[in-house]
Amino acid sequence: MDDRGTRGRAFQKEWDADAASVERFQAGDAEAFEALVRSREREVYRTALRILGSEDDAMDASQETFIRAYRSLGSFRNEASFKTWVIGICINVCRNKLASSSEQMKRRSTGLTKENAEDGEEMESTFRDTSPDPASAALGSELKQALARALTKLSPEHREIIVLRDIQDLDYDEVGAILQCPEGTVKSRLSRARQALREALEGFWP
Amino acid sequence: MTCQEFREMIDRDGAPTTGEANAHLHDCPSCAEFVETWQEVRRGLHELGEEEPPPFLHTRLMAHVREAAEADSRKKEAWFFGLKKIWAGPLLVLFLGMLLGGYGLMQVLKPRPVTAPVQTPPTVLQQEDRQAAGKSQPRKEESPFQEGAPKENDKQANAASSPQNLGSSEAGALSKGDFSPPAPAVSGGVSPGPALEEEKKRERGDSIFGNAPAGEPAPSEPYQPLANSTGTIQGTGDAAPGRASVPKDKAVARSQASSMESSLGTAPDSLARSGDEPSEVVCTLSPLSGSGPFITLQLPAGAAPPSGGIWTVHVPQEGLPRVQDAVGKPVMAAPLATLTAILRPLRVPPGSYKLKRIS
Repeated sequence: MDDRGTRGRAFQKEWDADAASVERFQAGDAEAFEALVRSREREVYRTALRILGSEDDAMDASQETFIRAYRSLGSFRNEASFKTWVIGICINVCRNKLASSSEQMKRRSTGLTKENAEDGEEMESTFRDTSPDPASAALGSELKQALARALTKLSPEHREIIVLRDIQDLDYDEVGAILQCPEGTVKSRLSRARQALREALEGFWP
Repeated sequence: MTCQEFREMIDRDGAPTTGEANAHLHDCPSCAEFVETWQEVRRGLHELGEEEPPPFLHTRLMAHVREAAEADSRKKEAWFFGLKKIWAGPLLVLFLGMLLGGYGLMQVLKPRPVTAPVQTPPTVLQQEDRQAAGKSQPRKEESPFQEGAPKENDKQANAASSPQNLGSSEAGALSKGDFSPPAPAVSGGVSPGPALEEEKKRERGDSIFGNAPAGEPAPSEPYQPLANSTGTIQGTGDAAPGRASVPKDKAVARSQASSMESSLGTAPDSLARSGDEPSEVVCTLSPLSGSGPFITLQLPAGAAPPSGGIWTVHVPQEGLPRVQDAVGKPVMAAPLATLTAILRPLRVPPGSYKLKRIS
């Protein structure tokens, strides 16, 4: 109860600070945006890192997220929190990146398969990434490495909701606001995502 | 509660949320181990979320944001200037077009000065045209001195003022039976009374144009072109204070009369100013026989018969009128020129007339 109260007060404090910075920015103080970046850059980067699975991609996604936020902040209303708003932008950026990289992968794979039809099986395996990504390799524990790998195996939809709820520790309503779906949908989607994660963590789950 | 139901609850809510689920957790070691593993996984996921970002993250982010902001402002500027480049020409053309169009529209909508509505006033009635009296027949070329008349008319009028052209143009006009008597200076009918009163007023210095601004004919004046004819008459004589209201007409008349007189060899001013006579006199022009107009004229003294005298004026179909004094002697050139200049705009029908000085 105390923890929830402390968290609520901290959340309110962060909300107020963000809202003040947003107002300053909208009033013409461009430097106020730096305060907003400083307050939310870690969450954005971590979200992008866990969804995209690569530090470079996470950095690119974070940059794009804040650039988009900078361009759209003029029309932002403080009805929602800046945090959920900017993480929502990050989720969209990550989706776009995943979609474009998947498209590139498909095109590259198709081209190579045409050239080397007899080695098609070989080619497929070349692009099937089985090695641990650098981000998970840097993790200390074996579990964390396994979790990082398992996350990459999830569908983007499941990965998003696991990242938002279990990694970023956002409330159901915040997750619902970001993914633009009601709480019931969040819960059912989360249940399916956790089952998928459990399946991906075969060796660690009873 | 079954193990399946319990695990679905954990997947959905992250923890046992009902008493039944807690009881199942207490009773089922397999599900207890499941929850324990799940809690360990959640801790691992939390730890993933607490991973420190690279130290240069903020610097890089802000550098990119600033770069993007500058690019945006450059793009806006480029767009603006690009727009200016692309649209400058058409916009300029459009602006000039609107300007000219507006000016043209203003010119079209601008109230024009009353254009020579040559009306036959009820006081001046031709015997021949009595039936047509009251009909208005605007004829621009009838009054070459009319202000605001097109330049072509002016040219035509100037051309017509030459002795060679005067007769033919007059003849054409007169053959149509057009006649535009001047209202203020020329009054017709049996009784010359109103015209005389008008003349007396004028002699007192009253402007026949009332409050009309100098140089502009009074728009409400129904016999404006005739008033201009008066200006012609006045122009040949000494200018009275109240008559300075028609300088343009005066100038035109003066030039017309002088051109005519120069062709006939005598200057008009010498006539107007000769002797101790008044500079202007009132005369009547009436047909010698048959029907015809009866016109009261204000003439320079030099261009009028001597006091009580009568001249005969022959207005031919074509050519210049001829004037004879009481004994049948042709009148000298200068009075003839002045008379011609005065009679021409009146479009006096061909015939013989008696010009009698009454004042």
